Amino acid sequence: MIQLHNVSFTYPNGTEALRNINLRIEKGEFVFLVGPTGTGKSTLLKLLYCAEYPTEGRVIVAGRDVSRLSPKEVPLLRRRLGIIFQDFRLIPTRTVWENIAFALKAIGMGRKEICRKLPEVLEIVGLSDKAHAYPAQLSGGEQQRVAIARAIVNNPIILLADEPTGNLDPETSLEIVDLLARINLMGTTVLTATHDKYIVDKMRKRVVTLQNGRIVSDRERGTYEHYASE
Amino acid sequence: MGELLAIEKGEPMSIMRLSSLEFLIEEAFKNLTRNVVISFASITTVTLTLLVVGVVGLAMVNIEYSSQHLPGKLEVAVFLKRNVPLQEAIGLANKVKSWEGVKEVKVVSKEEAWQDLKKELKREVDLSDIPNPLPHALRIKTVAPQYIISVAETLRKEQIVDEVREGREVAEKLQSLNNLIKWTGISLGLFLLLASSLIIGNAVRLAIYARREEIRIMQLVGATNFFIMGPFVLEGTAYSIFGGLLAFLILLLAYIYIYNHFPLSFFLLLPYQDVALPLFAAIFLLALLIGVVSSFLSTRYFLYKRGEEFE
Repeated sequence: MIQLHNVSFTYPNGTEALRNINLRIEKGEFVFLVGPTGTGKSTLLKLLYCAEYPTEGRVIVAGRDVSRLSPKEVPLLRRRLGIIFQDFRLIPTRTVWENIAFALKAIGMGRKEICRKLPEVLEIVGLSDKAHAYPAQLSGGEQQRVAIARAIVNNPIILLADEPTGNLDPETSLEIVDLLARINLMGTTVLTATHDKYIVDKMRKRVVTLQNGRIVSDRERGTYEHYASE
Repeated sequence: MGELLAIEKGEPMSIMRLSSLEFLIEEAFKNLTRNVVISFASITTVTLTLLVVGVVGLAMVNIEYSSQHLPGKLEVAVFLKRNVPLQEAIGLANKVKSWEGVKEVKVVSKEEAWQDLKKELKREVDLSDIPNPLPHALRIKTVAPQYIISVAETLRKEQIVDEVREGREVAEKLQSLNNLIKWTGISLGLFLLLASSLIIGNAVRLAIYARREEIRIMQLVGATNFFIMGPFVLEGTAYSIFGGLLAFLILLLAYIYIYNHFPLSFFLLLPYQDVALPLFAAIFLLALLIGVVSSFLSTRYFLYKRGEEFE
């Protein structure tokens, strides 16, 4: 589902964010990408949704080489991905329903289809009763649920989560990761970048550890471990 | 592989769907009503620009029309046959004075004319020995240019009239006025077009900036550039077209008013019924051009400038 072959990435200012990364994630896997801040986790996710292109190496998403995807094809790739962030990225002037509907309208989906899909997805994230609330009226955890609903409403094949629990307390964090695990069980491959030791240790999933832009460990049913800097 | 490709194949259809159009219009309308001050400023600028352009354009077509339909201008010179005595010339002058539209008739006797010509040519040639070759003449002024043609034509039918000449003076004046209006108009018009394009472009840029969060989200969920930028181009174009319609209405009403209340003495106005449609078409097209080009450029600028959108 996701393959990185000898991938390196250097920012235009010379910062080497990723160095010779090789990684393979199969369909249906749930993977934590862990490591201290600034170690290249977000950059790696960006390569997957084509916000950046690798300086070297090949990135393959859903069987497609996206290392040099043309700007026209990028939106089409993103429609097959769900992406969530630490800061939720909801539109404050729109309700929960409108926020999710907006994402579907923006890719040209009709009203009927939207009205059919929305209740389903709200049910999955447990916000059926909050459809007409504004983001400011929701707790952090609920806001992240809205973001997740928006990310999965178009049935993505991969869900990318960049520090999804960074703004949440441990209790809520666990609820969010549980939700991600449930979505994973429905068949979506989930890749979560985090430095939240608590959730990683609770879940006991595959853990890929990054340090200074390199993969230093990759374990099934792993825990969050600290590795000495180079 | 299959999953991604399957989606791509189905894609172009969605751009054509009605719901897409609905989305574009809905979002553009939200922008329009969001910032009343900016909307107002944009519309006003376009209105002013197109008012100036419209006034210049109307002036030019009317001057053109006048100079084509008034070959005689204001003064008619009538040269009588050589053997016609002064008495008859005066008789004709008195007759012409009673015609409709005639303001003033002056008899120029052949002696007067000969003196004037000799005075004029004194430096170059000595005419003192030559017998007077000139006929008696009349100079006729009319109250309005419309009468020149009929007066001249009627005079041509007179037995004693040899030649009728309509002065070129006014034609030349109209021509220079035309040039003056054309060049100041074109430079002023271009300047204002540029200014209004910048202002609309700016309004669009502000709208984009105000909605950068939404744009980020759209990029995230895989909206195409057409979808992301469409509402903004629509918004800019709407400003421009509103402004254009306003300018058209003002111009047309003013034109009708002038047409009905101020018959200008040396000017023939095109009937407003003939002016309305071409004026509308010209202003509408110009407004469309300003709107589409400036807002399109602004959105391009934005699309190329960003790149750190997911930071």
